[in-house]
Amino acid sequence: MKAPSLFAPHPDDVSLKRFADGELPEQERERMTTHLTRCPDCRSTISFMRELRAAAAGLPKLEPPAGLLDRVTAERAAGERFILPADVDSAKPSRLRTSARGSLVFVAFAAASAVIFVRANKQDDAGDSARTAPVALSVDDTIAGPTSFLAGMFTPGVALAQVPPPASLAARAPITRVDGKLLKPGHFRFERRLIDSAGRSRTTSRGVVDIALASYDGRQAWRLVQSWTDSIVELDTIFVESHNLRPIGRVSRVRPYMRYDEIVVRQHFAGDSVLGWMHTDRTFGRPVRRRLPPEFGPYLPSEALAPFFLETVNVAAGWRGTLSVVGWAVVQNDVYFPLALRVVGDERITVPAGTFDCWRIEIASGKASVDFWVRKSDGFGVRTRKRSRAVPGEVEEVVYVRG
Amino acid sequence: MLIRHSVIPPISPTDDAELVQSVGAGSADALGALYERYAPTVMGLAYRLTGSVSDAEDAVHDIFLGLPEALKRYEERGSFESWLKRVTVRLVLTRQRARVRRREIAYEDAPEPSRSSHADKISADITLERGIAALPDSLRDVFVLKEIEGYSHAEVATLLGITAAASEVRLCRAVRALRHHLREVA
Repeated sequence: MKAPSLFAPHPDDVSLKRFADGELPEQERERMTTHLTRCPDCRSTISFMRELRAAAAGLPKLEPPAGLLDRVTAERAAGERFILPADVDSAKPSRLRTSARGSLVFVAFAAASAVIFVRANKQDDAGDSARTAPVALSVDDTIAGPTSFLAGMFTPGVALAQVPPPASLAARAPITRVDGKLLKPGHFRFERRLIDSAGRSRTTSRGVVDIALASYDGRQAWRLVQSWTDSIVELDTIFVESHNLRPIGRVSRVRPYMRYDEIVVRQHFAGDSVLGWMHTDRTFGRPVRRRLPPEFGPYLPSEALAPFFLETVNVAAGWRGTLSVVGWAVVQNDVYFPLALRVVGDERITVPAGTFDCWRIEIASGKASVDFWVRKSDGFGVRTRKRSRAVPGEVEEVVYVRG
Repeated sequence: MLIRHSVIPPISPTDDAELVQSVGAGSADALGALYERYAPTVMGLAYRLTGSVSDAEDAVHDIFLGLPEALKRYEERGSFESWLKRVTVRLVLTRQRARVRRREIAYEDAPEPSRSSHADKISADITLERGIAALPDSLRDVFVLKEIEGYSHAEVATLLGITAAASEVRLCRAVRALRHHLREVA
């Protein structure tokens, strides 16, 4: 702020500011006053500091735009919600500790009630100058999930941009008896294949799901990480309550994604809502704030859980139940997908991982359906199969390769 | 966006407490009343922290969209306005750290001058607003919280997750940058 003097060193800026604000300790004030009597530079600085403070304190309040309250009211009436961050006194950063690997994983979820999601990527670290201007997203850009090797294999008829099918409440049989302790940790490999009309099979992609016990804000949780690294990189991490598999959070990362280098969707489940944030490498992003009607539950936060969910349910002949799979929930037609499951038979089938006695389960959504085979011994999903939409006569399947 | 120079009539604590209770119970009318009373406060604070009108509007929108649920767990400690400001600060700062910095806001998105008998004051305000908006996030946060909102350095430190000493240093840097800015435009 000023050049130092060889004969009378200037006080530092912090001391000057403290003096200007009347916060300088008594013993230093006299020395400062003495200095000021013979230093016009410092007097000028203090004068500016005081004027600036007065001007800043006198800045006017700002009116929000007209109609904002109406928008808020209308959105609330339509079921939109937003979870505010907790007051600073009670808010602590969340962290996750994965017990299986013993490594700390810090996540961008704020404290239990704070569901503001933090963008953290290389561009952020590069500084303001390297950052690109935000790009407005069109609706077409934002519908994507699910995109994984399991995509569509448990949610029939709900490929991209699919509107959730109407589900009759009367026909619903929510799966309520879920024992999360029955889920087994491990490292499970799957393949997605295309089988042509001549019975020839070719693998189109491979994926892995890791399941481990984790701690989430003091709560015991299951952590599932689904990864897929063929032509694109996808990482889907979800957390569910360990005892009942209720969703806690999800981070889905796909690279590249459409015309973006990367898209990240972060979700946190609170009460009857899924909240969070979606962004791409070049966009500020969009909020995730959707209601999940309790009558369509229970909810699976991702298809990644689908092959394992029935480990926690007592499946038997004649069993049926309903649940929903949550989408990325950024846009209205990708929030949740109600599904109806029912046992339609039992078969012995062979997949790369072995030969198993299975329940054959139909998963229906509207008029579409897929077949799903789970081991009788533990409810583990070893195969899901559906007719290809792209090529008549072809069948798509995901099979269990090895654990 | 309008700039409100008028002084808001003082609100009695009872008024706020009743409204807060009603909003928590789901009253849309009470939410509207709280909005009328405090949306300008939230807007001003958010704008000065972000330097962006659109980001500030988003903050107002989200704050009031989430207020009914938040007030269900609200514990009255100090005034409602203080609580609301802290929540606003947390919301804005979290996003600020997360976002791609929107540089266009510094000069293009600042409040427009409006016709007023206090034209000079407004002009000076706008010059200052633009200077504040042009500050780096780390300096602007401290300046806004300390000089405009009146938090102590200890409180600023808690809100920003820094030390009080760092808050003092950043404030001095902000003052120095603003002095340079105001000299440039003078």
